[in-house]
Amino acid sequence: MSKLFVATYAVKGKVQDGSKLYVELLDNDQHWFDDRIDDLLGSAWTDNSGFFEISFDDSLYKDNWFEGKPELFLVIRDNLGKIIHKTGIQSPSSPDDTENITFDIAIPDNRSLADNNPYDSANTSRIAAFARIGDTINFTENIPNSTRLLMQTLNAWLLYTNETKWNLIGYDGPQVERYPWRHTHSHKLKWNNL
Amino acid sequence: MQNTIFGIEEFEKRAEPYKVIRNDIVRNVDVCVIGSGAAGAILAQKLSAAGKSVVLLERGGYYDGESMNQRESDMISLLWKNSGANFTSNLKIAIAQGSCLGGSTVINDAVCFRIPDTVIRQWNALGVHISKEEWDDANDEVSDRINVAKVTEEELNENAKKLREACSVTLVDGNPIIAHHTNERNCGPSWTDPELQSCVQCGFCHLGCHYDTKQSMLVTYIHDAVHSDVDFTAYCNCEVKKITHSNGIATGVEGSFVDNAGNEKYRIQVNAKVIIVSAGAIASSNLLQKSRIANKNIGEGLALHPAPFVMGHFQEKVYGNRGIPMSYTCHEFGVTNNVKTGGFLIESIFLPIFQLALAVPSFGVDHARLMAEYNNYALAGIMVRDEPVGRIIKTFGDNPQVLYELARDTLDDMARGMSILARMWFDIGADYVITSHGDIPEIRTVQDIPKLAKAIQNNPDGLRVGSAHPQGGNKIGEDPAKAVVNSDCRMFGFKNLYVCDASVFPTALGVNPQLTVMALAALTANKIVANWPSDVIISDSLGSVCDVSQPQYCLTATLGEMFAVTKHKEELFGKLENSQSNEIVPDENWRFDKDKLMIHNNLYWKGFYGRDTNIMTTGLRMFGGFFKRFRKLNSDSFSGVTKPFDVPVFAKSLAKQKTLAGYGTIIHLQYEDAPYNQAYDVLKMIDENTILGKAFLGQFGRGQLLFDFSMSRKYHADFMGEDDLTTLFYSDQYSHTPTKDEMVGRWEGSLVSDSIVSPRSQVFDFEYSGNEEYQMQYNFANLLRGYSEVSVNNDLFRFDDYTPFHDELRMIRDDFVVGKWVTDWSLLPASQFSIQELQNLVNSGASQSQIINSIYRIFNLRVPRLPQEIGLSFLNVENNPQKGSRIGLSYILKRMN
Ligand SMILES: Cc1cc2nc3c(=O)[nH]c(=O)nc-3n(C[C@H](O)[C@H](O)[C@H](O)COP(=O)(O)OP(=O)(O)OC[C@H]3O[C@@H](n4cnc5c(N)ncnc54)[C@H](O)[C@@H]3O)c2cc1C
Repeated sequence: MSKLFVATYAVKGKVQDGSKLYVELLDNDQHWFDDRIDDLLGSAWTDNSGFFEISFDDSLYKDNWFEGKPELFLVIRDNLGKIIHKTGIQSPSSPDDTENITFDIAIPDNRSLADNNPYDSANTSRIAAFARIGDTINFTENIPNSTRLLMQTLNAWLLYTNETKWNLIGYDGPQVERYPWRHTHSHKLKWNNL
Repeated sequence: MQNTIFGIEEFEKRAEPYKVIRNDIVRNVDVCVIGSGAAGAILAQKLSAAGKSVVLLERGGYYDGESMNQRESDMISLLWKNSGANFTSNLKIAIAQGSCLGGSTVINDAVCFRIPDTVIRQWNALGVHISKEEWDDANDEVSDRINVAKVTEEELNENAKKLREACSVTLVDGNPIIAHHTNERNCGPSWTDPELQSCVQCGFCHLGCHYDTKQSMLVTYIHDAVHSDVDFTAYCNCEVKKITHSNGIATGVEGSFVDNAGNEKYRIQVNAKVIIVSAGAIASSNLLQKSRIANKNIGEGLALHPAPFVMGHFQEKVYGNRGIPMSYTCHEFGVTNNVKTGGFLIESIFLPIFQLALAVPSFGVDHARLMAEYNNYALAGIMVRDEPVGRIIKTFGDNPQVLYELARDTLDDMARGMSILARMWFDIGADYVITSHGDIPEIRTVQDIPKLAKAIQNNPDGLRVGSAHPQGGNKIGEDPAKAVVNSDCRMFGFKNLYVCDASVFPTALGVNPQLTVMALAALTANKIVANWPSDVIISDSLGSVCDVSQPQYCLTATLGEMFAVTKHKEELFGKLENSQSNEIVPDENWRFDKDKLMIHNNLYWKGFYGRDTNIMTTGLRMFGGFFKRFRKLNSDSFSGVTKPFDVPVFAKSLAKQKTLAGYGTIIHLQYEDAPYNQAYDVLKMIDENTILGKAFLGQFGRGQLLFDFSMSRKYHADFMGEDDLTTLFYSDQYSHTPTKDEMVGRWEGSLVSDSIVSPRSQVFDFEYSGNEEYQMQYNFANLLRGYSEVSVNNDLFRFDDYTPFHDELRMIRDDFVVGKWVTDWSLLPASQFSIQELQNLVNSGASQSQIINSIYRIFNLRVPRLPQEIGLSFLNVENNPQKGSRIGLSYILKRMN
């Protein structure tokens, strides 16, 4: 390719994070964030202040005549290579604007875990537990006993973890909300106010 | 300094500093403690306070007070071992144990008893050299930190008061009950809610303390260690699988971070100067058994404190669930009242509704009727000091199986205790009594009480019994022939391996054990510091965790991540070349390090995929094994060939060093012939024997990623292929024909194919039976069991089963053997089958099941079908000059005990 047609771009930026990070520059190429396609244009480690600079020439992304200007995004990895962040897309304002592509990246401190709670996985634990005991018990040693135990457990589980049943019996039940940390709640017991 | 608790669960918010693990971990520290319960937490904290760096590994998760929501459906699954589904093998006794950061102390009833004087004396005689003064000091020390204090009069709930009243009115054999009083408990100020100075009395102790007033290990010793100045790390969701050791030195701990379904996510290797097993009774014995520690006493002598209950029904509401569940005890018949053998305590206790529903032994309408009266019951349990008659054995799946039958004396104690308690409830006005015996769930009159004792005698299986205090299994003693640890809790035969938890109790304690476990841990911590093994050198083993130097152990995703940030070593490119020979020539292109069980193989670069257990990667690993071989072409390129082991394909390629945008310098491997020339690999040499690679489809630099892989010229015997095994098998330098004596013991086997060494597929036991007859017993994937006849002659260790196949073994090390399950063609009807026929079948592209079906037909095999995974790729065809052509399976055996 003649020099006339090759433009070299420089992408600069700063990652606001204390540690040394690895920055990969990718071309979007119609495959939004699909990192199975090898569209890596360049990579660099951040310096001690979080700065990095990556340059590339447009021969790398111009594999189709209609690809006008690059659609760039960054993948930020920690020192083990774990992806800790992907940025949004930026493009040069015009094909000639090869110097002013700057990313200022603040890595979100905590991924949004607002919907996570430990109880979601409790059911998985239970199923796995029942699968596991198969290896440690002799269910067939006393089939009537074993079956009775199983039926009683199911019966207890279905009926007595159920709030309607509690109300019928007059069982006080839990003294806090199911997701206590999501509500300001009192540490007083309901029956002390009766 | 603030230390951190790690786990794999992603939480919104935790009370302590908490981080989520996203990769394998290797730690080299002074001390590794396994289990964070009553013993483990104290050992970890005290050793940390003594200046030692400590890693604490806990199987369960980290749940803080805020997440303990008082719901049985949520909390039992999260805090209890095996979600509460934990039984003796005969399903007769349910065993409750905690499995979370803080162990059982998080879910216990907070009752604190000191070790009774009688027990101190009895244990002294059994080799526990701890004086009463030492116990007192340790109890004081621990009680101070966990705030042990007597339950006040205001804190006694109606349920406890009923027991107290009953104790003061009932006469037993005409005599009043003298020894009964309120309990001491470990409750105190909450560190998370400054307004709470003592127990809130919610009654949900078994579901963890929402208020952080129960002074469990989580909010005391672990909290202290997290906020200390010394390097302390707790890893949760981390199940220790094995302790490695050699020559009496425990070298490391191998663990897996497991999700709630028990699936491995990441791995950890901890190398430490001192290793302490505090996984609690049952689990500690199981771990030692899994770790190939040869002491036949491991698992022996388990006691359970089995406890049936009796409830009294009263006209007035008792509301037993309101208030402290366990605050009053009748000691009259127990060791605390100087009863020397057996005996029992009658303990007030109440349960949240689901647990009570489980305990009431009736069914259907009856059960519903009894449960409707929940608020009108007074409940107490008979906690029996049983004989340590239980055993823990390891199952085929490596899980602990608890063998325990209630002894006659224990049943007698139960019958007596339950009868007395039934009487007590009637004496204070109960209108009927509910028992935990299925044959007699209700007793309507005092006159009917004797029927209960009869029912227990006649049908002990009808008793619904619970245990919350498993003890023993690794007992302390003086004699290594009879015990597992010495009085310092140090494992016999080891310099730096300790077992310290309820499992070391030589007999049942007779009182609720937490304080004694804690005191023992405090004493043991001091002894470990005093006998610090300064001369033990911390191992640098990476175990089986992912590392760039051993990528066979990495997850696929990690291979990709390592590839991204690791530089290709350009200067090593010249060393890409493999041996000129096409065969293994020991000592030339192939070496074996017996000590480390490492294979150096320069016949080719052996390919590896990620260790993931998803179907895609497992399939690749099982059937997609390959090698690449390189020969020098000219100064800057190598010609190569890629050969999948199980398919007759040789894909030619050209390897050149190039610069690729974003990657820097890499090796570009371009396939030459169609259809493979649509693909290319990008390789990075990490060291002389390790390559990380990515396979792409498409145009170089713009391809579609197919998969990540690695290649090695140096790999552990756990990754050997058929050529490696055959080389070891026939080499007098590396292996020998074992004698019968050398093989005595239990061995686990894994099948070897070129692509993969399978997970455990068989267990072999070699032993001399009672009449000195040598026996070999096999258990193949828990499906096929039987005996084989062993013969050792003509330098051949051979055993025959009832198929036309037989086994031959060669020993590499006293703990590592290679074997072949083969047939001599000469023994088969000649007309029926030949190697050629098999090869034709394979080459014709017949499906795996077709080939296997043919083998069954041709060989006239009438044995049950082998499991699925033992498919075609495990079929080993051998053309050996000495033995002729043989077909069969190859395997490795590792000693289990
Ligand atoms: C419901 C209940 C109520 C109780 N009430 C009382 C009471 O009121 N008073 C009293 O004195 N005692 C009580 N106990 C008993 C007391 O809590 C235990 O005896 C004591 O905690 C035992 O301490 P430990 O260190 O041996 O084991 P635990 O406290 O059980 O701790 C062992 C820990 O090791 C972990 N572990 C196991 N295997 C592995 C592995 N492979 N890798 C990593 N970690 C592992 C477990 O998950 C667990 O967290 C109660 C127990 C229960 C279950």
